[in-house]
Amino acid sequence: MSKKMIVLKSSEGVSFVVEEAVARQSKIISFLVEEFPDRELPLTNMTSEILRKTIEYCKKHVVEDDGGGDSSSSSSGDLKEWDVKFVAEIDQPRLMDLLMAANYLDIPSLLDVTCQKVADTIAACNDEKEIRATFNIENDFTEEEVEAIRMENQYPI
Amino acid sequence: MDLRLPSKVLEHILSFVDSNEDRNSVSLVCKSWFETERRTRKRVFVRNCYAVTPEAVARRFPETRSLTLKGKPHFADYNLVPDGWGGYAWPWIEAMAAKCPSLDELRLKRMVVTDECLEKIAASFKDFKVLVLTSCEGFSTDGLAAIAVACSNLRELELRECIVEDLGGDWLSYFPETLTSLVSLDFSCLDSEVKLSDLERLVSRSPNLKSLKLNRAVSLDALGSLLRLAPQLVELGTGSFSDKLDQEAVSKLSQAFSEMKELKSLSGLWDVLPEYIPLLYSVCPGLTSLNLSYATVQMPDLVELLTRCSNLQKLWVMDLIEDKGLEVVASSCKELRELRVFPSGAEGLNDTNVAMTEQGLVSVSEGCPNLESVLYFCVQFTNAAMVTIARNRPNLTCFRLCVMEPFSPDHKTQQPLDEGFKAIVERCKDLQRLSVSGLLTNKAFEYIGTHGKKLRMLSIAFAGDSDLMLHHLLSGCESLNKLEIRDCPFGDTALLENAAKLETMRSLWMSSCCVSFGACKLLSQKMPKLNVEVIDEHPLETRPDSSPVERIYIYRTLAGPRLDMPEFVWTTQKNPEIGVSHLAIK
Repeated sequence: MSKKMIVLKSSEGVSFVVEEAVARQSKIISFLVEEFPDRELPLTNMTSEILRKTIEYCKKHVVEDDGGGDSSSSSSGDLKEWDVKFVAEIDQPRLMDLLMAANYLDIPSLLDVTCQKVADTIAACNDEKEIRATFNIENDFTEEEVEAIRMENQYPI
Repeated sequence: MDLRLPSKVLEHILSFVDSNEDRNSVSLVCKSWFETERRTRKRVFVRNCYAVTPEAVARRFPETRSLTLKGKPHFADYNLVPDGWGGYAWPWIEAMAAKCPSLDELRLKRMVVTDECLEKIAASFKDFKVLVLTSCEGFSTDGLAAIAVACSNLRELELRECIVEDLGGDWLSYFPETLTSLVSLDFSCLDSEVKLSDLERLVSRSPNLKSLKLNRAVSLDALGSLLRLAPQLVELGTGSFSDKLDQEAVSKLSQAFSEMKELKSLSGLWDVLPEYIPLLYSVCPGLTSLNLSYATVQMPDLVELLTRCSNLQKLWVMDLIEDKGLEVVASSCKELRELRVFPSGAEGLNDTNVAMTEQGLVSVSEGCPNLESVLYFCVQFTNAAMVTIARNRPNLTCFRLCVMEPFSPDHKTQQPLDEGFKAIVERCKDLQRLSVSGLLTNKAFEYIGTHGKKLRMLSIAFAGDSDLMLHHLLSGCESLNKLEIRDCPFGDTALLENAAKLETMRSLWMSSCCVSFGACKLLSQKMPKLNVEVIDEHPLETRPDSSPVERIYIYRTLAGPRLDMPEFVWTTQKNPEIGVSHLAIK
């Protein structure tokens, strides 16, 4: 039985041929292939690198979910472990890109995994300065504002 | 990389950031993170209800689901805070009801909670789930009935060590027949008998009930039938354990206990008779927590029980356990993390001499490698014992030693206990909480100030020679949050010299010390972020600056002076006339 394939195109114009079942883990793609069958889908805001990573994640998950209907705890445990490793190997800027891709394509489980990893990174920072440095965020508070929040945080809350 | 996260995405990320410490860091990153964080914070913890206004909290965190609030100072537990001092829950509940209607969890400690408060909770929060009151007072069983009637999705109702006006056991019958969500019920502090049929019906329609703590009025016979209805319980507080049962009832109860496969925590056991202790044997191996602080069981009856509790992590017990009993703990309970030994008062009551010395704790420190938290009441101690304990257990994070006779020296050498406490603070690098007692000189406090780097809370009673001690503590102990002192000769100089330190701390309590009225005034004027409250129930006709004050409670606050001060609390804001020296108080 031949599997139905679809084509996803990255911002660089690179085409990725993917099983439909794999791609359909994205709710957006799922919707699009129903509306526009037999068309290739351009994903202009996604680099090949990030698209490849996203597809890798979806492939792993579609295989595991199809695993003969035996969703034993060990296989779902293995999948969790795989997820942890998957995000652990990605550096900070690419992790954020992947998170945005998961958000854009609406892949809830990938969004959860990437958000969890970002949350862990935040928790591992010692203070707000380290968070800003890690995520390259500009401090737009005045000194007085910071002091007021810091006091409220420190005093009772 | 320019990170402009859409707020929906940041929201999703923050849903995985649980600890308030981390969320506090997030709030300081930038404006958009502050906004998203404050709009999504669900659990809010206010450590002093007078340090911030309820309106400010409700405004900043409109989506608050769970609010934890603390009221009176810790020494209220030892009756040092006069009735009527404050700690009222009402303004908080009113503000939350107005601004945070999705609140479903309230945890209040040492607060005055009236029936009106409970009725307001019942009426305002549509999906209220958790009410945990610890050491609270001011309400009656009518207020509980109001909660029972209205909160049809209630999960937890816990009354821990509360003082409740008990108007009878009827309140329990007000839980609607549709309530099936109960996970935890604790009414161990109530006196009245509840109707067994009410309790049985409630338990039998609560398939998720995990924790049930009964009061003393629930008989042993009733316990048996309740256990048969709820073999899934993880935590159990029994009622009275001393009723006479016939042989058949005993064997049924024994059977019921043997079917409690999930039980991890056991308390209650009021007046337990030695012959009933074997009933508990079947649950002992599963227990991680055992609270015998109401069980007047003595040695050697305890031995059989303790030898079976091989997985115990937490043990609360009266000094009736004696040194011998603690030796059994040391050899049987290898997982023990927390030990509390309370005074039974048996010494004065009858002829039994309780053999409870430093040796018991030394044994436990040797035998239990995970021991990290200790509260220990006893009549005598030695430096050598503390040195041994510190060497055995450098992992201690909490060490509260209460030698009951004030100014007791090392009973073997007659020396002060300075060197013993030195060993504790020097070796236990992660010590966060310390209570000292016995005969102590300045030296002890010099050691604590120097070595207590992570110390957050320190309690001192009946100690010291002079001001220098307080100076050592306030100029050292860089992490100190709370300091409470009673009956010590500390005075003005150290307090005023280290005034700036007080702004880095949550609170300082001093009673029966040597602080003068003038110093309190000065402190209050110098440090506008501090509320300096003089608590004096016996005001003098005139109050010269040099007159000593009974108690002072100093805490930093963003809320300014509180508005609910009783007559016996004096501040420069409330009593501007005292701002001028040598003026008589009206």
